[in-house]
Amino acid sequence: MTNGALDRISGLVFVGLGCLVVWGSWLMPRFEDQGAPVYQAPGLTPGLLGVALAVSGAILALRRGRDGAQTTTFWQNVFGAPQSRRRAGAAVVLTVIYGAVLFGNTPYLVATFLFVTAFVLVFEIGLNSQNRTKGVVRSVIVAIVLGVVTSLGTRFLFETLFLIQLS
Amino acid sequence: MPELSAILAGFSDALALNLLFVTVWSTLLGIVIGMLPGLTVTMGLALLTPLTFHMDSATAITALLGLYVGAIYGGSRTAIILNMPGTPASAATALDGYPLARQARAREALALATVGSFFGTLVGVVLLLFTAPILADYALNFGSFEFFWLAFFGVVISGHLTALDDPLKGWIAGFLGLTFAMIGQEQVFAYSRFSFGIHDLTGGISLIPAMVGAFGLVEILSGISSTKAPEMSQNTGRLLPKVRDVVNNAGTMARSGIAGTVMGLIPGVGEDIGAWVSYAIAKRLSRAKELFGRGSTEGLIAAETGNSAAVPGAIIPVLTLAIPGSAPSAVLLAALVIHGIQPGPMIMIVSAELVYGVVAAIVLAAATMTVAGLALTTPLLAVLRVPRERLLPVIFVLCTVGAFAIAARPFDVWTMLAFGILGFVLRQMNYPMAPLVLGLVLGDLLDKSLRRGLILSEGSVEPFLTRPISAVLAAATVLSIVLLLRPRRRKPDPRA
Repeated sequence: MTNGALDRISGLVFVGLGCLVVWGSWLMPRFEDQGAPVYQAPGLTPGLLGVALAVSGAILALRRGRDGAQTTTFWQNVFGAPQSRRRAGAAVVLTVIYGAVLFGNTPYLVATFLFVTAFVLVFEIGLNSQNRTKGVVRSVIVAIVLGVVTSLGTRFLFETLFLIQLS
Repeated sequence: MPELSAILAGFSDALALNLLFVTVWSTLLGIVIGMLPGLTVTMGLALLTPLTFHMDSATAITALLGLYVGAIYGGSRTAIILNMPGTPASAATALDGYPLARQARAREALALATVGSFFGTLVGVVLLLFTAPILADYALNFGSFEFFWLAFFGVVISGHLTALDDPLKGWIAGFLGLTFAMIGQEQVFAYSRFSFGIHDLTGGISLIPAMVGAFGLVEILSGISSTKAPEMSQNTGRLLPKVRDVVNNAGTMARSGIAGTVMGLIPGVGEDIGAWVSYAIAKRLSRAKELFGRGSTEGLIAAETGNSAAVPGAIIPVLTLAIPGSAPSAVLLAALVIHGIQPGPMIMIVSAELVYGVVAAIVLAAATMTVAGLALTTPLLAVLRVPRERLLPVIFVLCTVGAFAIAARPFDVWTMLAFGILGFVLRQMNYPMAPLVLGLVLGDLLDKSLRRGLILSEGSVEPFLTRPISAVLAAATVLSIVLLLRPRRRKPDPRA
């Protein structure tokens, strides 16, 4: 897949999104029964922006390819080499679990300790490109200490110094 | 003309012990944030904003300005030592800074960058002092028609200049940001657009969580996905720059200062482009072009002067038009509003002292930055030895808590996550983030101005095209778009 093909795909996504925005804007009430002219309709600006997004997406999708025959997969093109992909994927999973699941649903100290410790362990041991056998114990200790210090430190900073309730 | 007594009063206030202390810690914090790859100025400002809630407005603005000035400068440390810009604004600095460091002139490069940053900030501040009253006075004539074009032109030009390789992607990012800004209640009928019955969406997308995601989480994901560890240069050589080098580059500093400020003034363009434009001008006018990219002190000074001058430059439209000149200044704009300050054309009439206070705070932050940069570079560089696997989770915790702290609602954390993941995918596909964020900031102004303008003209688009300022902005916008239709040339390699 070339960069041009990738642009075509993203262009088509924006065409679709633009059309959805136009459709959503069209369905919005126009308040004509209250004597409002069409140019006051809430859907006017988003509708125009939807058109702009769809037209720009179409130009992107339809323009000529800008590079030669570069055959890579979609994911490789977007997220790079498999090792980078794995690291990015793991980071997304960990951050989403912390931000969307743990944060606010479990006590702050526990959630933050678990996240920081898991993050360090995953990237220093699990996904380390160098096959490490030495220093695993050290990484585990660092992960635990960092987890404790971060959770206590940030709670002190935000709750005690800046009076922002976290849990 | 600014009054000297008002300027002196601004400095007198800023020199109060408590504000001076705030200037020092915030500038130092800014330098550290700027130095660390993975932490951007925008993210630093977005994280500091909720922490300023309990401060009075003068203290809060001083802290934010100190961090802003310090962080733009701090990026140069990493660019020179690691060949990895601490912030995108320091990318041009790395071109000559790193080769100088490899020639065992790292300290000299760091010191020259410091001097360039200091003078750049001063040039920008002087231009801020003289242009802000003129621009504010001129903007008093602006109506809905002009503000509509200003918002639209800002997004288009930001898209154009932040994606020089492919402006179309910059515009798409801008339109996407404007579309996101349409979510929530509009102002004429209080109708909730695109909220799908979700209560949290009726208030729209909060700017700061979105920016923490777009600039913070994106950097974390980009930083951790990279498998390559940066190589650190030895911090050796002279600690202070040669006076001769500084004097010889006075012209470069003046030119770069002006170019950087002008780039900062243009909505949504900011420090990165300020540095690149200054670098390009310096290279074009240099007698030693061949040294550029191989360790030219002139190139290094131009880049650093340009990005630092863009800071006061970007603050000019924030204060006078309530339109951000760059992504970090968009956060500053939001913070000003949070602290009860309403920037805009009335600023010189209603609160001129604020403008002079901002000037004084920037100058004092620049002075702190210079002293700290020259004296504390070696200890500050120690922070670069922290492995990113240990630093980034801590940063993400700050991102999460920072997003949550704005309104104490989990929805803002989800917004941060959504913008971070979307931003990461878009960035991998070479869509710039700055126009997206600028669109999010300017969407409300665009919508309000378009519909108010149409109400005033009873549905006619004529005043949008015939009023003098509107006509100029419309022509500039159309010209910017038409330029895309020209055959594309490959972007020249700046090292060439």
